[in-house]
Amino acid sequence: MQTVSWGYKIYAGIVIGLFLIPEITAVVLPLENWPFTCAPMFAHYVGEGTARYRFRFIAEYAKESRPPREISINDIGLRQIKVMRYFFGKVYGSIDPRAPWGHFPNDTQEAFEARLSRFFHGLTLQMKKKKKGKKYAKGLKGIRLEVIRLDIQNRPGEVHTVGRYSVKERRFAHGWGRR
Amino acid sequence: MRNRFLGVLDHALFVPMARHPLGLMRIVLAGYVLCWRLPRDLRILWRVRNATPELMDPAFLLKIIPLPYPMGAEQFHIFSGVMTALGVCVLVGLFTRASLFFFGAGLLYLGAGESSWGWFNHGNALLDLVLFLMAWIPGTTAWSVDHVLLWGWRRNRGGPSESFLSALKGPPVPPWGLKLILLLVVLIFFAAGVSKLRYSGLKWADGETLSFYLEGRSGGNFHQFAGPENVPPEVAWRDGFGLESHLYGSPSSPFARRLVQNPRALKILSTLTLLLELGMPLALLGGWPQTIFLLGNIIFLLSIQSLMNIYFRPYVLLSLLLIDWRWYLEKIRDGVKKWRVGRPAP
Repeated sequence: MQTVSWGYKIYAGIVIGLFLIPEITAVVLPLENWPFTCAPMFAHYVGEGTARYRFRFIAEYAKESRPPREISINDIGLRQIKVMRYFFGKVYGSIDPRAPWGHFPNDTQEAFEARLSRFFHGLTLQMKKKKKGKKYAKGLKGIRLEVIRLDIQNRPGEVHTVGRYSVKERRFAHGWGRR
Repeated sequence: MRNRFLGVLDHALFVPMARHPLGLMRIVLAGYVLCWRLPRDLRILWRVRNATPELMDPAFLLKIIPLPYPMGAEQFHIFSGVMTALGVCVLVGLFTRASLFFFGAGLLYLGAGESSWGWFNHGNALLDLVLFLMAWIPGTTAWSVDHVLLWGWRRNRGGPSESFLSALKGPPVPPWGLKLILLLVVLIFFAAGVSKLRYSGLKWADGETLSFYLEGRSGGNFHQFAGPENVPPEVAWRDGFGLESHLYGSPSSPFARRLVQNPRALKILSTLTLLLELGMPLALLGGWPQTIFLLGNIIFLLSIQSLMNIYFRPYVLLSLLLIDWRWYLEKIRDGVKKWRVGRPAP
């Protein structure tokens, strides 16, 4: 029987470790960091009693004659599904500390506002890059962020305004819970 | 006991095997990437070249791979040309290891880029990992131009005579690399099962979640998120609701919508999904368990494709390549022989 040297075995051990340890870490923690994943696809329970929501970005204008309108992400040259996943995971944050796509432990209102300010600033810049997006950007005063609860038929129900981004101040002001 | 365990491990990882699918795996995966994955990912890289960086969070790999992201037009054209050339080199096996290393790294770069914008492509993650890993493990240069060139060079120098075919196949190699690929596939599927238990518990098997997705209720013009019904105010301070997870969009097929009418079938399918995913580590035993779980895997992935229009092609390809078909056919042949011998004479 052919035998292999110890040096070769050590090399094999290093390669196995380099590929396996990050993947096992991703499964245990759990997290997703390309290309390592805890494979959370379809893992969250969804039943009749599960509360479901959507985000809505509403463009608000200085002129009263111009009514607010929902921003379609596809109109500004990006894919809605990707932007929303990025927004939820990397900007907004999940309430679940085990969420693999993004949870901000010890998150504060200031940190939350800073993340959303950066995001909405980026969104206003992106609007100006596409012909369709420019229709939102012209005369834009701010962007209102809403979370809408959906009913069983996916129709909008209760609406909560999270806050507003001011284009002039380049700042998102968290408004929910402030009276 | 310890020595016995090390002996078994040593035997499983380092006793050379003559028959292995690593050369074929390299060819099939490179062909798939060249025809399908690479054009798609290059299109995405081109599209995002002018996108606003505030709308992305660079993945860890983008910080360590020394390439700019996004790329300018000129850099993009060079990168596309180099990646295509590397893909062809991997396919035919020219400078195989170096080509696998740079091709795998390039694919990891493309995947990391896409994940930075919010899209983690689970099918491609495993594919990229395996292709990059192939640069480091033995056996991946089988069926390559490198072997042909080496054979010709040795012949011209009057070296030991070896048939062209055996030179093309290459020498027997230790199986640890192939086992590592199998382990990665197993781990990803096992992780999917663990995630279901972690976030939903055994309740996931009641068929409700599957029913929701098969009905296509997560689809539509907007992305959906979910959360628990009652959330303490200190947790729900952002919006008063408390969003926990995003839901995966799945455009369901007509057959899926018919299946939703049968809750018992959905319960059975959900339970089988959990059993398959959590039982995947049994595939590491080799032999029948490996064949059964990998075949089960292929059927499971093709079912997802037909019901939910979600394609996990790289997983299907890897599962097909990891089944020891020769062993499987030999077992069937032996079974048929025994059955014939045991049958009473007419």
